Amino acid sequence: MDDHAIKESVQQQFDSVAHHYLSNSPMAEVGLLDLIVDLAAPRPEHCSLDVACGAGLLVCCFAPLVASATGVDLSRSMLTAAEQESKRQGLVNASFHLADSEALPFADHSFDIVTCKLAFHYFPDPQRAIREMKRVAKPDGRIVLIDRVAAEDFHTRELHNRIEKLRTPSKVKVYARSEIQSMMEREDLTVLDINRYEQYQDVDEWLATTGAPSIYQQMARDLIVQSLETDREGLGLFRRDGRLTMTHSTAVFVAEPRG
Amino acid sequence: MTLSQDLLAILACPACKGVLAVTDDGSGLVCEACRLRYPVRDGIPVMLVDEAEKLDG
Repeated sequence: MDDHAIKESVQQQFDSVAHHYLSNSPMAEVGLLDLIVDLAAPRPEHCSLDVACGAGLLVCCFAPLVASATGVDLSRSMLTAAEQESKRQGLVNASFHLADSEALPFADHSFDIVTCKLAFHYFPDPQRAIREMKRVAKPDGRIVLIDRVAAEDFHTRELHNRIEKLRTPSKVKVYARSEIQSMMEREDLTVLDINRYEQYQDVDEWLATTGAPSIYQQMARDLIVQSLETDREGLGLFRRDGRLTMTHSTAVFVAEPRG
Repeated sequence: MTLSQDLLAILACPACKGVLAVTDDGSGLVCEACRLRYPVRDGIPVMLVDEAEKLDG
């Protein structure tokens, strides 16, 4: 798939599951949202931007704390859900735009806070997305990038990504923590802190969420089951109440433009 | 569409990052440098170069 095809595929995938993301998804986990807001250190005079904002959960968290909270995403359905949610909460300073994370429609140095939550692995050109986040951040601004991470070991990471691709064909790649850090540093961002956050999810629930064809879901499940003893994909598998459960490892990077 | 002045001040053309102007009828945002008009659909600005309308001239 070329970059354009990947973006179209991501759009279609999320347009079909927008309703899910406001309610029972790990995306909505309050602990992670609180951690992000805490690390971003919002102030009443700040302007915040959430890149690939999905259904606007994080934008709605920031809006009561800042002067303006903006979100961009490629999925129309997600943005419609975001608009509805921000209106429901009476957040008059929240706004949403359909935009590409790799070509943000904002002037240089516009935002005090730039966040990107659990979307980085969908970007065909993640380096360019980081460059754009840095460009729109103020020189004294703060970037908080949150993404699932895979194992540092190459082979473990490759197997993990094979399962991810079966479940979500539009997913480009889950990176190792060190890979994301290197990409940020390449854009002259100073990584101040990397927080680790773990979430547990029922494997079957995880497989069912993205609407992938059932044959791919089954192939992914078979690979996961084979890995239960050795955890060769680094998925942190265990049984909880008899149900196959996985560990999502999330890294929260806090960075500032350098110099 | 109602865009606050603050937001309009930071919105930029995704292609050239230049300034945008709201069309008279409020139905879009125009980049004069690129001669592109970005539509507003269901109240959401569509800031994608691929979906922008080319202006004549």
